[in-house]
Amino acid sequence: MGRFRLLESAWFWIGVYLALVAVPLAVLLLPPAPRGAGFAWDFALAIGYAATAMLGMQFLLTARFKRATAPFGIDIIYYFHRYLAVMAFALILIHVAITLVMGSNGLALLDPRRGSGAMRAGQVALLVLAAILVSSLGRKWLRIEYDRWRFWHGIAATAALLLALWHLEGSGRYLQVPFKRYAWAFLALGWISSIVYVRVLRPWRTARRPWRVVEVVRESGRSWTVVLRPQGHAGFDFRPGQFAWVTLRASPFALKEHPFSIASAPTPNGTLSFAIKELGDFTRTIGSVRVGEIAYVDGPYGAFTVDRFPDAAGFVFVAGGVGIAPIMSMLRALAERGELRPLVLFYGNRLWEHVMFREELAALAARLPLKVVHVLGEPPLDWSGERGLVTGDVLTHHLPREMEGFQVFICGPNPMIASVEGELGRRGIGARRMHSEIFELA
Amino acid sequence: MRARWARHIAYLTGLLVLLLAAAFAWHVNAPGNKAAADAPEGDSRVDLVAPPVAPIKVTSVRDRANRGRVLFDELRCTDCHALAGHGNPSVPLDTAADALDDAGLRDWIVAGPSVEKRLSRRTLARKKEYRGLSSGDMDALVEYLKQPNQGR
Repeated sequence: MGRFRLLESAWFWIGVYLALVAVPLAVLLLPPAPRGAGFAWDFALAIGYAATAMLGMQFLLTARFKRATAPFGIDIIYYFHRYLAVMAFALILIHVAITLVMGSNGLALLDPRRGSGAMRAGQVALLVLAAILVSSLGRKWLRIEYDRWRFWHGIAATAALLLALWHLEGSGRYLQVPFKRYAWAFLALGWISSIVYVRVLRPWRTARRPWRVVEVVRESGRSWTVVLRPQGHAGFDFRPGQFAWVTLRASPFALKEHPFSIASAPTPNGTLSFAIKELGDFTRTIGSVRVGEIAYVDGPYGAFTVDRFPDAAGFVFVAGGVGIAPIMSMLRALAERGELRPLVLFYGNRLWEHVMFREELAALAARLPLKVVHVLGEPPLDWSGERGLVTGDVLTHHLPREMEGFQVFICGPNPMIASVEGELGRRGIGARRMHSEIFELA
Repeated sequence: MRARWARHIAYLTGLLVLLLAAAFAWHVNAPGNKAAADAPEGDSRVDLVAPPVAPIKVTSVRDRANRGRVLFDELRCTDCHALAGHGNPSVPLDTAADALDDAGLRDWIVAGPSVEKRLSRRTLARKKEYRGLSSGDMDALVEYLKQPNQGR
């Protein structure tokens, strides 16, 4: 496998992750080897070390390293980050349970009035991690505003890692050899330096490349198109379908950035347009954005693009609501390129009034070999098109008979993605030919 | 599907990490796990696999404290206790000799009548094993508790 193909291989990066968790453990086994204190006890301690390494790796996962995230799409990296946090916490609970059972002190091990500072650090780290999990998995249920959640999430996660490292340093039998202490200190420095990269270096680079709002257009269905032009720089190259983090009315250092799909095709002047629906805390304020305001853009990211499949026989797009945004980017780009391969778009909305880019889609259907199938949940009385949801019957009715070599792109609410993937899977479309993008990262 | 894939991979990763930890524990406790050369001189923090300790003729306080330190490790007191930064810090013993005299220290080591009722069943079972220590070894342990810095 060529070097670049290897790097692009998702399995390569998964192997890298496992290696980065295993290496800290392997360091502990270097001679002079620690003396065993019984399998169960050493198992508990090893779990503690490994879980700490996983906590450190969590910072690297969300550092948005483009090379590492490209094979997956960064949305999946964030999902991976979420579920790995659950696993790391489960491992820490196993560590605590075994040490409670095996240790002669029983529940006294949890008593903050006893033990050293390092033990107390471990206890506090456990509580902080529990708070992180609850606030992250239950953010919407707890009605925590996204920006506030993100701010405290970063601080709490950093605190939890530092406390865990203190706990290891003070209670680690395996770190009593100096070079092993230095090795772990070096690893910890690496994990913490990614925090500095995310919180300082990247915002600084972003701040040096501002953008200006040049157009704000009200679209149908409580949606807006916001157009940005680079100021003093050429912008960036992107593939149709990718997305970027956008900061409006805040400094990049405030980390009040939000991910939006780029809805435009790549242009020579670097202009970007974003299609944004009023759905959350921040997006409800989009209508008040004024031409001339400064914005900051960190991108592009994402693997959701037709450009990854130059040899596809054709493309099928399935969009729900504002999920049309990345697909518009792809359709616009394909139109500019004079695409000749067959294209089908299924676009689901509740009301006809909510359908974004109605007229432009009709124009693209005239310009491209594109079939547009609107599916309305609550159609008007004289509606003759498809009704309800994008079901298997709807797909069967409009999909080409021969789908060999077609690539399918699905973007919209998670239930829609799951349903359509299931229906297409039953029709023989393999997972490798279906691509989706998750909007709800937290 | 991708979200499901990410979830499964995350769970699999967690399981693999668990297996790594088990392999680690197995390796550390393998019968053939031998130490490298002795710890650098003066470094009492190195936790090595020590060879069997032959009885030595203890003639001085320093010798007793050294013997006590070896016993502290051999008897795995470090599983629960730390002394002079060595061992499990959840129950440090650095001030034990300030609070107790020699008899009191012995009582705690073997869970004598005055402390028996204050200990959990598990701790009591563990400490009862030390009732078989010779008086010389008991003296060495007590000396180490009193003068841990001598045991380096």
